[in-house]
Amino acid sequence: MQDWTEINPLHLSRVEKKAWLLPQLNQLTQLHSENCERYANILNGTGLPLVASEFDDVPYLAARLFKLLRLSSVEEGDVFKTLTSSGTTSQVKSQIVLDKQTASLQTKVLVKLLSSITGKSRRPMLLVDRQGLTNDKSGFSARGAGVQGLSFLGRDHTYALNEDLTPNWERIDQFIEKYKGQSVLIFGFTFMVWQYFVTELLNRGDRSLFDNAILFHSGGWKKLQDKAVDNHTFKSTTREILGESAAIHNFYGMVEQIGSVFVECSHGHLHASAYSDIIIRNQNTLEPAAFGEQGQIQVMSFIPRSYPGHSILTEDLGRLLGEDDCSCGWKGCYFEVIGRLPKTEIRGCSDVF
Amino acid sequence: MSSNITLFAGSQKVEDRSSAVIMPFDSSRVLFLSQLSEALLQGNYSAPLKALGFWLRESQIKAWKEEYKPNDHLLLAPIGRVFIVSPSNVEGLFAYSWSLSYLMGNQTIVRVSAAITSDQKKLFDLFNLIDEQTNGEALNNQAFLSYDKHSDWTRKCSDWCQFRMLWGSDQSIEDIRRVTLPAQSQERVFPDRYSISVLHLEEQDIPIISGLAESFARDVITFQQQACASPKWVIWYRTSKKIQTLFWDAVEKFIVGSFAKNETFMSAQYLCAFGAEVERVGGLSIVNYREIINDGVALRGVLGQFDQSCISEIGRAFPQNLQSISHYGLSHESKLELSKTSQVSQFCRLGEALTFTKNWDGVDLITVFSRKVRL
Ligand SMILES: [Zn+2]
Repeated sequence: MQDWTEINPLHLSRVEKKAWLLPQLNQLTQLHSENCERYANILNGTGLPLVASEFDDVPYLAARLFKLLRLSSVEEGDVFKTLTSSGTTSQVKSQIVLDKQTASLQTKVLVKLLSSITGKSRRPMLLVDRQGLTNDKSGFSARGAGVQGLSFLGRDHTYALNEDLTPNWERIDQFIEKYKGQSVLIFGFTFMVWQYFVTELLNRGDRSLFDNAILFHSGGWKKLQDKAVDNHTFKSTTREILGESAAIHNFYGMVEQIGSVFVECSHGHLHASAYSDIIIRNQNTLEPAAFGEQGQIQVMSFIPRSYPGHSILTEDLGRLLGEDDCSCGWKGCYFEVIGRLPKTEIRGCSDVF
Repeated sequence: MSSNITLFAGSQKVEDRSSAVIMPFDSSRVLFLSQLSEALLQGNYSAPLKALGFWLRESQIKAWKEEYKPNDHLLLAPIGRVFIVSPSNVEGLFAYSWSLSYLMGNQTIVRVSAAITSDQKKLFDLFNLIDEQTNGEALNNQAFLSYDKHSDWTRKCSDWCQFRMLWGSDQSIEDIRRVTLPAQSQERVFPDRYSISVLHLEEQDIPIISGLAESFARDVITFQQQACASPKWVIWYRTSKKIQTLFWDAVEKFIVGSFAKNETFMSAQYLCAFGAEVERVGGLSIVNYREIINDGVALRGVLGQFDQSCISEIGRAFPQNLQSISHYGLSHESKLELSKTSQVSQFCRLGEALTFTKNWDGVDLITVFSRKVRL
């Protein structure tokens, strides 16, 4: 079996991918059923198979289980850190148990995947976040993990925001001064990039700052939808500031599967790489949906070894657009995220007589 | 009164402690409630509000009046000042407890959540309308308000009241209870509860199984299993597998489409994580386990089940926070046995698990809102 590092993540065709990824997923199902009693119980109790012959048959857990249960496949002593979902106001956070191996694999895979887009050279990097984010030892957040993972792609890391999330103009100006007209790398969470960076620079009158800048951003569109900002507006406005040549890539990923993210191509589609796959399931039957049909997004990844999160049914809605034939040239299933499942109102007991 | 409150109905004058004393079942109060009832039943209102209207119908109030009528030894008198904290997301609850407090002649402050539902708004509109017809007399010592929970209003109302009634989750009740009551005041709380069905079906019940299933499904669907009285487990008492299957087949017909697939899927996986096994999947997930799994997670669209042929064992299987047993086929003796061996506070027929009664959660609400005066 091929080592993951030898795979070109965005150029593996369906047949090759199945030969590589499916056995990895089956191994993980086996591994977790041996090491996580609750996972084994779920497989047993719901009659799910240990070995899948198609991606569709890989057992999948409801994403919300990670909010309700601590699901771990390692001894407590081997827990390196526990990630918590961040950025939402919901009181219950997902808990993702990481050992050293899985944590390191997350970072390596993310770097390998994104550097297949950016190239090997490390660019000066502007992080649209606050400086102290990755130092929070108590309750390591997914946002922090994301920033830390991405930072391997760049050099001369500059944090663009103050502690109170206002722009740190001194640092931003130093960065612009130093790298004006050069190719830089920028990363941040979609909402923060828009609200605390793009909007602020726009108001200040900054235009066409860099040459061939690359922006990665992630975290979802919910808050921007509220402000009626869609991907098109986001890109065109951001290009005004960063320069027309800027490559802007959104990516989609679950806190349960940090590393094997789904990156937006030059044609505006999210792609599954060789390290991950996606299935859209009809939200009423959970049967796989056809191309173009809206349904619940199931994500799969070969990374999670310390917790049974290699195949998860999210509460996001999406639509498959095609596979291996996107005109951008990348392989893999490509899709769009449409939104969230309609929220079931949380009503505690005795909130109703 | 300071400004960080919203008054939805009634009067802020309620704070005035010197308002006139009104005895239980005073005709002015009976009139207000029966006008409310009539308006709800005749107008274009939701099912929960119609249910409230039905519950408060004049004949019902008269029946209570008869039941609690004074005799040579005893009469009911109002407590005086009552403070009710009602949880968020409730269409009907505050109205049920408030109407009994009102009927008993009390001054009442009801705290509702600031985010009122459209049903609540309609109810308050109706309160105000009827109140105006009495020139504000009817509700001049009642108040329905919301305030920020971090404000000092819980403290003020707790100091003011002689009786405090709290409805809510265990957590919110514990939070409010940190605000102590004066020694002379009483309190009653309605925390998180858990409810179960016990079914005893025999061959002779097969002809009516569809009707039973429809009633049962209604209990499960209403409030998406999130009410305290919603059944969450079924204990089969001396019922054959064949009849159980017939019952679930029939329930399926009435439940289809009532729960989001994602919920039934997640809920079944959650219970299976603790060792349960899926029996069947459809509009509901049915799982088997040897005992009740109840750790406070609000699951939807799932029912656990097991068989038990010994009544006293059933009682021991129940959680400490048991409230309702909706049942079919339990004998009087079995109910006595379950009352002894468990914390049950109400038995009900299938389809009536969510019907409010004045005896609720082990308490006679008319009695708690009044003083029994020995003559
Ligand atoms: Zn593409």
